Amino acid sequence: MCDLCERFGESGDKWYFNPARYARRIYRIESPEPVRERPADPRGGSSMGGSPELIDARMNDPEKFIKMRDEQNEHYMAEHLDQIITLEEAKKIVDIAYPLTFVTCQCRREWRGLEDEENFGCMGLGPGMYKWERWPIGYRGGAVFVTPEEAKEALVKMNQKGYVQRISARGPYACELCNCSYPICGGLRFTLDYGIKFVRKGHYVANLAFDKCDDCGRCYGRCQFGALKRDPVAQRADMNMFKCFGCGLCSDVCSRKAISMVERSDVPAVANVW
Amino acid sequence: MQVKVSVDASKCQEAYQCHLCVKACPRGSLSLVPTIPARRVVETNSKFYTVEGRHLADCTGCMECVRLCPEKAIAVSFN
Repeated sequence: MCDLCERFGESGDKWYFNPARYARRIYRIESPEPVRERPADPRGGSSMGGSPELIDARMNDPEKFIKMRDEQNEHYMAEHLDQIITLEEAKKIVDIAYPLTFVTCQCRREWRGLEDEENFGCMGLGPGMYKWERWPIGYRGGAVFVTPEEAKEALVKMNQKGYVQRISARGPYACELCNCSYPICGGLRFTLDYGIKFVRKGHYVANLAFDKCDDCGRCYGRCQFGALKRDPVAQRADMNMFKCFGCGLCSDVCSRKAISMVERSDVPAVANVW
Repeated sequence: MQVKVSVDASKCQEAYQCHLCVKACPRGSLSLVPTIPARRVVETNSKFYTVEGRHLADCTGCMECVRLCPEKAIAVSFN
């Protein structure tokens, strides 16, 4: 069982299916863990750029980097609760949370300079979104409110484009449903490149049935985590379940149902790898 | 190894409209960042934005940004 389900789940269900995680009354409740003080960024704006010292340490000072990484790991494990989910799970969450909005993605703006009009790719959930709507200048572009049907349609489109879905919570409050891709996503980037557990692996893991795969190539290139590639020897897809985050992007396009999403707890070696 | 990406602010005047280098960077090492706290940024005013090398640990030195910059404002150095 993942640590988030233990802390925030209810009756054995996954934590993000617990309606209490989207409730008005927990919005703005401070989390019980002490909040690590963030270095003030005089340029303002982005925390996604990462702390300059951490990036510098990764280049020049491996020992300092490991120390800093462990510190940040501790902080993110307590405070910043992000987990990869599949499209089906995202659709279920859309039915639970209210209100639903699309907001602009800070990462894509910063690292690809995407204009606000094309950039409504992140979903904001819950009562916090009224604040975004009220101050469109502070929150860049404001928030666009959508119905669950519109949200599902948009999520499917994002999935087809190749974005990974992930649910984010700050403290106990699930507030965001991101559509991300590596390397243009702060969370995935820190997780994969820096080893900081910003994003946890999902509850599923992709399982490839070798005999069903006919090398059609639809899934190649959809994996954002480097878990799926083509095996030139067997002339089939090749899945590394240790690297799999369980987003389901590969199984969504598989025409012969060769890739299935299985529960992480059913696969012994990766059952406790989050 | 130290990577330095320096952007000449006097040449790079229209970062918000142009940002060719930010789009082209294969590792997303360059960022389009506001120069003043985000709450006070006026989106349409490009003088509040600048290009900056941030994730420099990922910079490979492919020099695409240097090649694409119409104003020749970017310099990348390794030592």
